[in-house]
Amino acid sequence: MLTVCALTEEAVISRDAKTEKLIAKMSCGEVSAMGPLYELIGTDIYAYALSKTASKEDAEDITQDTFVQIWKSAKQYKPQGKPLAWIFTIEMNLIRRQYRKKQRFVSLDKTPEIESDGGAFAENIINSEFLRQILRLLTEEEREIITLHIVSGLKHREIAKLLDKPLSTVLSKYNRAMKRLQAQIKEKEE
Amino acid sequence: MKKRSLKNKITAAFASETPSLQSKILASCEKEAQLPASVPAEKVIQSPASRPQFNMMLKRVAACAVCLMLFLSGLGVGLFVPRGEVATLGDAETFVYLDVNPSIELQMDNQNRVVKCLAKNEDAEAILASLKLESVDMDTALSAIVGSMYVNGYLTEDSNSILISVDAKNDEKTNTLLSDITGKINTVFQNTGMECSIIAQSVKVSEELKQRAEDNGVSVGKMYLVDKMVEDMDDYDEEDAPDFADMSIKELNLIYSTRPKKEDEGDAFDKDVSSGSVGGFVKQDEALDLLLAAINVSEDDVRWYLVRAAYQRENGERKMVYKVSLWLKDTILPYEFEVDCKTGEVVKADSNLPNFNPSGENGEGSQPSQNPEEDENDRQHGQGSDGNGGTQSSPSHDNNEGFPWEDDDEHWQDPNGEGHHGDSDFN
Repeated sequence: MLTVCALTEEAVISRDAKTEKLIAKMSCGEVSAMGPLYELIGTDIYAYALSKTASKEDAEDITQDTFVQIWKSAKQYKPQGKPLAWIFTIEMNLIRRQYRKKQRFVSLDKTPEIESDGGAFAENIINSEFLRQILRLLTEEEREIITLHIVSGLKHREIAKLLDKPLSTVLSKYNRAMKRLQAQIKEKEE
Repeated sequence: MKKRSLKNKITAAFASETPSLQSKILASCEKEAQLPASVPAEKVIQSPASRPQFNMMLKRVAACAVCLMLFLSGLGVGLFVPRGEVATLGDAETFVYLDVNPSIELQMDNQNRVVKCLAKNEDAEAILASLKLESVDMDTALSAIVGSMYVNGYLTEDSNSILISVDAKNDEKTNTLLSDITGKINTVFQNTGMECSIIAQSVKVSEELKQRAEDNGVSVGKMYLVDKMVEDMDDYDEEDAPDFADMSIKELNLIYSTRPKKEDEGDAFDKDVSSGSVGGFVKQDEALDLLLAAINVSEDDVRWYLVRAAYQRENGERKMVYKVSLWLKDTILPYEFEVDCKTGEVVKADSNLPNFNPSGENGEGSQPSQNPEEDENDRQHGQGSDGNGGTQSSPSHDNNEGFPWEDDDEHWQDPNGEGHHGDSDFN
């Protein structure tokens, strides 16, 4: 059963603990821990990949690769209470790798920005109308902050650290994105 | 809409779109679990009982290979000769050497028909036992040999390295044959869904080379490769030759294929590091990923990196490691690491990396000093030759000598896939 509500702080802490237990099992070679882990954080990983790539196909590939990489790296992780930061570092590296494969020449310091209307090509394959709106309306940077905060429950300062951005930037982009979404919904309702 | 409702709506939208990938992931993980983290690859080759199970595609190809072998051995190769023609073979003038673990020598005439096919070791005898290849054309012979290697378990996903050596009349013919043979073997592998890693070399076989090959108990093709590695690779010398001769083809392949290229060797690094990867080992880019995860460093913080395989002696046993040099943001000198080629485990870390934590305990990214000079002064001792025969290409540590890539840009990789930036804003 996948999570469908925004996570409370308690839920995030509990989920982090469960995630660490499952990673510990994997480090002992228990591949059966993968199923529960996917149920626990599959949406987080997929949502982040989709927010970065705006492509269902790419997001699926990255999600799959991320979990396989977690399995392979499990022995090197020791519980620290924040497994998602470690997991997202793995996922971000895989996303960058995929960019490199698709595009030979990219900026040295950051991955290329998908055009703000880049979600258009994904419209045909993404079922949720609301999700298509998010992809179309928000920039890649706004999308990743939104998904990391709302879907994965990371705090803004944790996102700032993960993305290596000032906290103020993360906050302002988050608030701006939320306002834009709210305005869009309001407009549609009217 | 209130923020709380909007948040729930966003979460629900992503959750509803999340695909069910568990079975695919599990299959991949189970496949990874079967990789030889602790099983020496040589055992996989030498012990048919421990051979990994063939997948369905492989079974089909193996079945075809068996049919082909039965066809060749049972019905006789004469059927390949068109009626009315006389299969008169010319003298042997082209020599093709195939090395996996079995070593096979094909002697061919001027029309690329097999004059003689020789088993150069015991494993090769098993491969050729049921084959009659004399007067068969080269393509058919190669298909039968490669098929037999599959059937006998010498070519697997974990052991996919083949050394091809060609000694022909002239360079043009040698190059054509190398290209044809490589293409043929690649085609056979493509049908299995497996990746093949080939080292193709032109050789000039002299009596002296034959004698040394015999003295070392290896094929002439392997002896030639060992000589070339000792000669071409700056970090190795004659003392390494016995170790190289003792290595399997896939170990040699890993070291040779990941070596830093010299300027006249072309754009060898202008490609994905994972292409043509050697089976049974963690790939170069995977090793880099595992290292970055272990030291909790984002790829964004890596300006340049260099990953190359090397061997080490540990308690008398040979061990393959990737030597990884990482140039992080705002630092001039690289941090040096070693990653086990079989397990992907970080076996040696640069103690100069601040906040290094192999398990990522503190969740902090590792940030070198912001002062390059300070870094350089602090880390003088950690550089230079590693003294164990590794392929380390350490840059100069003299402040006056500039950036490492100013000397030899072919050696340095940009993690973002770009080419060399001599005018980088690095400083």
